[in-house]
Amino acid sequence: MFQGGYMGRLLRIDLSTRHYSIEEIESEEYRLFLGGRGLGALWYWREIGPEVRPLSPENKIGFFTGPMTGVPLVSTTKLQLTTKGPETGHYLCSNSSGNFGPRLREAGFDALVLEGVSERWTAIVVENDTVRFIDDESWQGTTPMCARDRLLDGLPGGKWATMSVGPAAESGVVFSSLFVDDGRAFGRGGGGAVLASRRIKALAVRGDGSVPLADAAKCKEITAAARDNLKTSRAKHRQLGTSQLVEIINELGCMPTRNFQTAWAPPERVEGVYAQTLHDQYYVRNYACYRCSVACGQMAEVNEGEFAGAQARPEYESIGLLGPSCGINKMDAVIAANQKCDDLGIDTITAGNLVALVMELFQRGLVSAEDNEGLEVHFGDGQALLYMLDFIAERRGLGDMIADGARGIIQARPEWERYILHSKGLTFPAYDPRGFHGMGLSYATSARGACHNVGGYTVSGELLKGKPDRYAVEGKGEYVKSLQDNRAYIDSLGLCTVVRGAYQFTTSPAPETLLAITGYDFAPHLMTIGERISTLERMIWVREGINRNQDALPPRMKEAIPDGPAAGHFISDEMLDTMLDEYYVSRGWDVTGKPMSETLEKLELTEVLGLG
Amino acid sequence: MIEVTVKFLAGSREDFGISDTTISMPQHAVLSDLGPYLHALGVDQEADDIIITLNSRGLRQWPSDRRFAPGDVIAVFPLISGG
Repeated sequence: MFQGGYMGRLLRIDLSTRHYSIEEIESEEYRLFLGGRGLGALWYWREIGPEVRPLSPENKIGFFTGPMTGVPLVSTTKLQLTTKGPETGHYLCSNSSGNFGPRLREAGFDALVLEGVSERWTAIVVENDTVRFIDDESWQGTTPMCARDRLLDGLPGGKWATMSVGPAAESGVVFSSLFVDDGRAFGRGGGGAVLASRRIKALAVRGDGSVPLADAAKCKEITAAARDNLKTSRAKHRQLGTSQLVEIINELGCMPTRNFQTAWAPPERVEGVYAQTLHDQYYVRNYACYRCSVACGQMAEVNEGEFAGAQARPEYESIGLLGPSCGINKMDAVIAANQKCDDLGIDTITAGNLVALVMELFQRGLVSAEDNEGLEVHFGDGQALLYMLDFIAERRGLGDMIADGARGIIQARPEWERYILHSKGLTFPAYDPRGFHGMGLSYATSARGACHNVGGYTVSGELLKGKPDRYAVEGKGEYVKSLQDNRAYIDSLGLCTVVRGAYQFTTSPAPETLLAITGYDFAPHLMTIGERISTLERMIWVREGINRNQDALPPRMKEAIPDGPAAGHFISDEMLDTMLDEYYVSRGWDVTGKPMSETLEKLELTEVLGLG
Repeated sequence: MIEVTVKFLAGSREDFGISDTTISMPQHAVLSDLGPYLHALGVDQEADDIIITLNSRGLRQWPSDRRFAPGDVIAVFPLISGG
């Protein structure tokens, strides 16, 4: 069926026995699920049951490439992680850029599965068809970058790619990240904690192969055209990066401010973290991921003042949640906090959210320094933010509870739920959905908890372009479904979403690229594949006991935004119900949010999932 | 005449070489009259890579016959996503 695009093999490593095996992946699975996130969801359905707990020995962690991962086109960098995540306690899909996916393919594999638990702290080295372990207990407590450097020091030369975790993962912080190479990460959901619970500190991979292509000459043509397209279409991304959104989202009244107590600040109270400030005072250089001509990443460094020496690559989400949501208007403090998160190995989004929570608890007098080893943590205090991040990783003071994430905090202190911004345990990204209601539906129905990407990126449409109307609830169900399905197939390609337009991977995808890579005309089926993946992911959640009751938004969303351009707007239970009703109908799910049997049949899922 | 503020945000400031300005529009000017005034500032209202809002809402969310009023603010910024 396929003349290229797939290696057709999965590498399975049993960490308990240190045996490994190579398994064939059937063509039919590629046809139905494409790769990446789709294959990961199918694997999860088959191998991770509802009884498995995220940090227990029975959990597994899988990495899945797509047909574009590592092929010689622009930005073919993406790798998907799939596991049961500790932040939500349920299904987690997460993607990262970097070289690990491409190198895994050069080693001859489309997927890597880790199961069992190592007896000793170790690193896994995959080189072509061989697997070996490097045990070293002294790696414990090191930063992800330090672990990477030490692992590479012990390996022969070659194009190695790495993954590594930091001390927060070793402490079981449920929002600890898994770092790829020297700066990209599987940020959300706690993939780092799952890996560390298997006593894996790092992995390295390299290989001598390459991904077969159905039409190599056509791929060259497509690459040249994509580069030309991106020179103009993504010039703004290169110029100032995603941090430009800070000013824009604040101007539109949707910027999380002081733990979402409001969604806007006067420019003089937020311009310290604008893109222009980053560029003029802290910018060092752009950086690019694997085969990327956009290079949207901005390396920043603080040269003077109390945070001198700090280095990071702040993106919009990190700036929004470590900055305005913590009441911080100083880019040097944000860069330092971003670096601290990277060194500890924690997700900047959840870290920003939950430190902002602590700040609000102090503001309201609900906690005091006595509860936190003498440390007061107030909005606007950059040093306190840094100390609090350490407290989380070391499980000290309030950090011990914060390390358990939104679900853990609510379990311990249910009365604080009104101050916690999350859906299904995953904390909010840096967009306040009270200012554009489709984002509320995205957060509530996303396949991994509150997520602006997996849930459907409504920012460009309803917020920036104004179509559909940002405050409407009618029409948002079909709109969000379409964005989610589009994203689900993009996450299964192995391609960075920033460049999707250059290949026309839209809701009406163009056929050339995948035809040239695989020899199979996927294009007419891509949106159906996306819908199939979304529905399979929903079946996973349903099997784990999740239904409409958990497709919810937190209490603060029912309160009107007090000031700014979106003042007075909120999302009531009735408004969310209207959106959910429409969304479920558009998906062919019943009123409880369970996919109906005819929907499963239409999407060819009944037999694949063993439900026939 | 009605004075309308035009703000250039993020990367648009460098692109257009200006951070903010005011345009004077006739008393009964409506939204569909805006194009030439923006054009005079170098802004193509139909460009794919630019977003234009009126009072923090996309232009498409306003009726084309909506009259300008004192205090109206136009914002121009690049189409950026992600993060």
